[in-house]
Amino acid sequence: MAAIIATDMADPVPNHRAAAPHDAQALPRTEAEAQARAGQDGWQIPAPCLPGVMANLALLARHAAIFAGDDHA
Amino acid sequence: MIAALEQAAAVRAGRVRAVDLAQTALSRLAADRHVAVTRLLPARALDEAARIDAQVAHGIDPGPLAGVPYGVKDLFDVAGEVTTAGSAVRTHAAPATSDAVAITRLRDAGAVLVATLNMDEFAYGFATINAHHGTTRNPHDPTRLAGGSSGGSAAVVAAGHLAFALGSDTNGSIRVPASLCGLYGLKPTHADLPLDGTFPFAHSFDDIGPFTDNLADLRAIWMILSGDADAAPLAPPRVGMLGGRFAENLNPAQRMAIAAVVGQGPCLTLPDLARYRSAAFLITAYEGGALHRADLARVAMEYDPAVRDRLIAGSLLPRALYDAAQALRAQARADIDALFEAQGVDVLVAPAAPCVAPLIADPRILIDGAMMPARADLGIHTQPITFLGLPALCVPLARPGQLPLGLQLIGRRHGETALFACAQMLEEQGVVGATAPGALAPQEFAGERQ
Repeated sequence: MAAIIATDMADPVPNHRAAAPHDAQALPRTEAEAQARAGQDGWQIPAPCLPGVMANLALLARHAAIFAGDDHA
Repeated sequence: MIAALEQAAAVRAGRVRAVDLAQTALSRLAADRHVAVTRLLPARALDEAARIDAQVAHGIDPGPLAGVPYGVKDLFDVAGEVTTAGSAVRTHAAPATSDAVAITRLRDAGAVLVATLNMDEFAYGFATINAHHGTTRNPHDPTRLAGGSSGGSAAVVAAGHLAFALGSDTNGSIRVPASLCGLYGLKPTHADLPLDGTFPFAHSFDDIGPFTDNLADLRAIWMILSGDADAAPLAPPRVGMLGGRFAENLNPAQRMAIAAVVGQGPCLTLPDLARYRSAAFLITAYEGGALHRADLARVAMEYDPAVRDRLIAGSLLPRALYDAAQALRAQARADIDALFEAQGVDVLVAPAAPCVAPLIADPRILIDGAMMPARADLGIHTQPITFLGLPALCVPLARPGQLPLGLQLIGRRHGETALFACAQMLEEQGVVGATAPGALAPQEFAGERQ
């Protein structure tokens, strides 16, 4: 059986959980917020795309939460 | 399939004509039933092959890949052809004015380009489900996915149409299809192979590399592409394994093989592994979205809907989140370099994909006990390695008569030589080796998921 050498408690790999999400890192949560964000870039998301875009934003929000240190996201 | 180096030896010795090899490859690709080919290049291929034959006739050595036909994922520039990146959006783009650098290097080595190959649109997926060209089928079982996004490249090699093909790997797009199709595939250290003349996806992670069905060809092609002339005998590497989530989502056959390979070597757990993958996910989405923002504003409805919606969502990510993910990436790369040094290992072994090839009719995979879309999640084990920028060589487990499964051999930065040494050691032990399709009875495996 292989030996466990590096774990959460062992250096040299530090744990980077200090980073926390803040407003500047917030993702659009509604279709209106998504359109507003697109509007800042000078375009509008076609209506047929919105359901798929919101589903993908939800997936990205889950990854953003994991990235921020929430392992239960 | 006869190995690339054997084909080249026959051409260089005048026993086989390059033109005949090209004709045979073109015929096989024209008859392909795996939805792997997007474009045949007969005029170019036969011209190049005739040039090789002329060189041989004049006593000139055409190079180590003399007359060997090969294909490229449809995101490499081919002079005179439109680089579509698998998308209808680019159908009317201007043709490439020159070949990608990788193609030039292979041509200089005597290889003959015969086709461009299917992929997920703009390389955004792990499945090669392409709305325009169709879904690439796995030669080991055509009811299953070939993996992606370089699925066409993997399928033509696995089917025996070509001895090698080039793909790209942003988050696992060489390693995942290599695992599902039972091939060798190399993702080099980030940015070590030339990306010039390839259509980008996420510049922080984009890499190119070859697929083959044997290790000697893979190493030879790597040396040609990289300009690395070091063909010295390979020293035995020090091998460990990656634990944690790498040990949680894998096939039992992979678990047994890893244990056999690593023996008493160390098992390393990366405490921030989940964060690495999520950060890679975010960086990819942001960079892909930014790259396509202008085209999405102009012609969104011409994209593959599944890819389009992912790209649009990525284009909406805040810059601050991207910057934070990049900061973690920089720190993580320094940390993993230190970990390799501290633990005294050259190679870490991990599963390449979490399961055998999923069914096309049900493209979902089991991750952490839940069914997830294969298109987005087949890269669960490759994405963190991408994030770390490390080289990884996918090797096929030797399991004739069963669906293919692969392992990742992960090396130190610029440590590809140790990966080849480890793969050679595993070949000699009989642990790894490609198996030609045909031995499978698909119905026996219809229910196999993990």
